Amino acid sequence: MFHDLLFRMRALLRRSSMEAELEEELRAHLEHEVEKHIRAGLSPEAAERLARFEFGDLEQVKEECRRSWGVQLAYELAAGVRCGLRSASRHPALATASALALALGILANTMMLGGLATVAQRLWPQPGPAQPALSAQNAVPRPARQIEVHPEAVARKVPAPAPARARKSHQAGESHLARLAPPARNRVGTVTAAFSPTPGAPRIRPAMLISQYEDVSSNHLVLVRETWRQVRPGAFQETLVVIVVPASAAGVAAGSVAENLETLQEEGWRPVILNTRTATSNSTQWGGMAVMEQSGQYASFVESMPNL
Amino acid sequence: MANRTIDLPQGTLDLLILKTLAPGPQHGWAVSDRIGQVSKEVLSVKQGSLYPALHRLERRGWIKAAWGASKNNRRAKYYELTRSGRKQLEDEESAWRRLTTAVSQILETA
Repeated sequence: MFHDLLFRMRALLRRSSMEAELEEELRAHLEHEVEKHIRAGLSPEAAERLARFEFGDLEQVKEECRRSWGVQLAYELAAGVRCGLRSASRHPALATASALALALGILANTMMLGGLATVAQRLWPQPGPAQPALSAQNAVPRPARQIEVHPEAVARKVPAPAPARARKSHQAGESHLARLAPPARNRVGTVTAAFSPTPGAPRIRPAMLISQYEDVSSNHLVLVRETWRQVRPGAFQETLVVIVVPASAAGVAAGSVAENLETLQEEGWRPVILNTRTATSNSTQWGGMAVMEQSGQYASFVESMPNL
Repeated sequence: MANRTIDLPQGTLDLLILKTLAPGPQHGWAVSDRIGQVSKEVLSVKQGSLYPALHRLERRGWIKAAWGASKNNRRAKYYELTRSGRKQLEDEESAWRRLTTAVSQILETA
């Protein structure tokens, strides 16, 4: 192993010396062969001709020897680089244009693939733990800014909101969103469109909704992110990501949905998937809050928040 | 006249070179000549196989090379067995003997 490494290093670093030795070694072999034929009675010219004939292609033998050194790939690579550099120095403009074209090609490919991935994510959002949203359960430490916890929120058990209030607040959130929404954009953190509870809508396109709802009875702010994915005609997989924070959390309740989300993210709140279920088109009319009310998860979720 | 030379079976060249070098240092031409002489010209090692094999054995550390003067006062590259080369020769020789014994047994009895 050590010999092998040493030999290869020598072949790489002292190639000219090894080539010269190889040349001399093969020439010596040829001369020995010529002498042998002369001793057998041939004339020097005939002996040399015969020796060269028997030896065969000298360059071929050299090439075989170089291969046995185990550094042929490095030699070929170096030759390729040298050839490229020579060409580049002869035609610098062409070389620059080629390099630029290559760089642009790589850039275009990267952007195209990145764009495709984004479009695919928008069209078929993936429900599950990979979805980004926020939660207090696995929040990272907050070194700079502290959320002030309302003392009553710690002591009180929070009941589920009445359905009527939930619907009203939810709708209020939607109208608030509708006011804010520039409909062309569609990414997390940007309000894109309000959820439209149109009765009897034949098909709900995959869309993302981020809304907020103030639970005045428990003095909490509820931020809801809903993701819909059509799993078959008339059936949708719904992912709800709900963040419940005390309304007294610093700087949260006063802002818009996007601002509040940004503030929370800065504070280190991290994702949790509250509920993933397949719903029919009817149950989508009231969106996530209706689903939560039905399943009673809102109350248990708020109760389970350890530090609120 | 029929050609009496036999092509070397694959894998035997290393063994033959190591064995030829066992008595003492030899240069490439002498190794080739010696193999031809001992085998009564039945085995012939071509230069295109001999020198790559010598360099490969040197790379593996089984032989080492040094420049010296030949009998006719020419400069030649002499190859010599190393300690690991001797060990390798013993191993290969033993494996070869086992193989030929087994093949002979089959040829004689089958």
